[in-house]
Amino acid sequence: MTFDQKEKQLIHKAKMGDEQSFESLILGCQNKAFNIALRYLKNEEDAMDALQESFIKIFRHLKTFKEDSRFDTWVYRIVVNTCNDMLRKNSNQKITDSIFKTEDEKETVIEIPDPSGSPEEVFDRKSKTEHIISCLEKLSLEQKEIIILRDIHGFSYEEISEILNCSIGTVKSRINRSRLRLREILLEQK
Amino acid sequence: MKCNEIRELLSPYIDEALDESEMREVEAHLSACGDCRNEYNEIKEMVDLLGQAPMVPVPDEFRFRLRKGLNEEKQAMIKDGIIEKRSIRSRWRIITSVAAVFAVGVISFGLYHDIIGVLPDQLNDKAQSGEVRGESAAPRTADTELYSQDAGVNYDMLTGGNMAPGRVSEAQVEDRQEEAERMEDAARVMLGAPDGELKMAAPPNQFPNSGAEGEEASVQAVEGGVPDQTAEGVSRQDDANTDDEASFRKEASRSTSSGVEREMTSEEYYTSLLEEKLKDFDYQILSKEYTQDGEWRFQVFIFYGKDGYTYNEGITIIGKGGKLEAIHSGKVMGL
Repeated sequence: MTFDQKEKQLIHKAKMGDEQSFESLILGCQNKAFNIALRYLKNEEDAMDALQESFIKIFRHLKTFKEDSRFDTWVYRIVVNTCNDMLRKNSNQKITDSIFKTEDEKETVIEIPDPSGSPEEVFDRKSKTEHIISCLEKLSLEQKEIIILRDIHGFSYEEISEILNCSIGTVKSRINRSRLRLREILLEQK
Repeated sequence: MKCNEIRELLSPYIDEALDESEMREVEAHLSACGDCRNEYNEIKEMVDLLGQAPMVPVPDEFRFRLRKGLNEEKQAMIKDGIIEKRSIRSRWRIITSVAAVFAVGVISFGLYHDIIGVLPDQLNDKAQSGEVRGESAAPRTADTELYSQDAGVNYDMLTGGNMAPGRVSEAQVEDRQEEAERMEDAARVMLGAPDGELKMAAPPNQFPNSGAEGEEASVQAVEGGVPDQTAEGVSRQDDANTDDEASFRKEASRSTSSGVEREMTSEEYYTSLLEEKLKDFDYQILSKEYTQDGEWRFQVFIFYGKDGYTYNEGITIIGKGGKLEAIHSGKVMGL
C-alpha cells in the first residue's frame, strides 16, 4: 500500500470518528505543526494548546476536507490560523517569553544540528541563529510568519500560498520584503 | 538592470525561483556590483542560519492531552449527530471481544487437558478401556474437587471475604499468591496419586475470615473416579454454601488456571492503591497492562491537584511487589 493510499484509508476511518486513525494521520505532521506553533507563540504550553485546538477542529471538520488536496498543508493552514487567533486574543497580554526559556525562566539548551567545523564555529553559528530568531519579534506578524514558514520550515512558495491562502506572487513579494526588513533589523543591532 | 530592481529579485534568486534569463542577469549584476553582492551575501547567510534553527520535540504529555480532547470531542460529535455512535471501530471492538472470549475458552480447555495429561497411565488406560465410562456424573471427582477448592480460594480473594473490597493489604496479596501456587502444586501431586485414590490434608488456611474453611480445604477420595472434564459433576456437599457461590465456583472451575485470577486480584489491588495515592488529584487512568515481567503498568494523566496546581502531565505508574512506583521523565520516583 502506498503512502497516499494509506493516508486515504486513515482519512476515511477518521471521518467516521475513529480517533486512533486520526492520531496516526496527524502523526506525520505533528512535529512540524508544533514547531510552527512554537515560533508563533513562543512557549511550549501555548503551542500545545494551539496544536490541541487545531487537531480537534480538524477532527470535527474532517468531512469537509477535499481529498484531492494535501492533508498536511490543510493541517498547517489550520494551525497557522489558530495561532493567529490566539495571538489576536492575547494581544493585550504580555508575550515576551523567549522559546529558549521554560516556565521557571531557566535557560533550556537546545542543540542546533549540523555541527560541522570547530567548536568555536558551531558556537558562533548557534549564537547567530539565536540572535536572528530573537530579531523576528521586531517584524510584523505578517513578515514573521512568512519567514517562519519559508526559512525555518522550508515550505515551498506553492505550499505557503495554500497555507496562507494567498497567491504565489504575494508570497514571493512578502518573502523578499520580510528578508530585507530582517536584514535591516540585524544591521541596526550591530 | 538597476540595483533597486536587483534588490527585488534577491530573495527569489536565493530560492532559485527565477527563470533562467533572470537568474543569469542577477548573477552578472552581483559579480559586477559590490554593494548588491554584500547585501546578497548577508541575506543568504541569514537564510542559511534560519534553516538551522533547532526543532523542539513535541512533549510526551501532548499525546495524553490530545487523546482526552479527541475522546471528549467524539462524544460531542455523536451528540451533535456528526458521526454515528456505532462506528466501524466499535463494531470491530465487539467482534474482537467475542473472539477474545472464545480464545480464553479454548486456552482454558487446553490448560485443563494439560493437567489431565499428567495423570498416571492407569487412569488414562481405564478411561480408554471404558471402565469409567458413564461415571462423569460422580458426585465428586478428583479434579473437580481440586478446581472447586482452587476456585473457592479465588472466590474469597475476589470477594475479599469480610474485608472491604479492593482494600487487601500487600502482605495478604502475596500470601494469596503463594497459596494459589501451593494449590497448583498440590493439584499436581494429587493427580499423580495411585489408583485415583486421592487424599490430601487440608492446607493451612491463611485467609482470615475467608468463610470457606474446612470444606474448602478437604478433598474427598473418589475411587476410580475419572476427572469430569466438563465439571458438570460438581456437587456441593456443604449446605451452608449458597447457590450463587456454587455457581461461581463452577464457572471458575471452567476458567483458566489460577494465574489469571491472581492477575485479576493484583489488578484490583494496585488499582485501589493507585486510587488511594492519587486521591488528591484530578487524573485519568489511560491504560493498564500486565507485563511479562509480572508488573502492572498504568499510564496515568494528571490534570491538576486539589490544591489548584495544574500539572497536565502523563506519568507511568508501576505496581510490583505490592508497591507502586512512578516513572516521570525517565526517573523512578516513589509514590
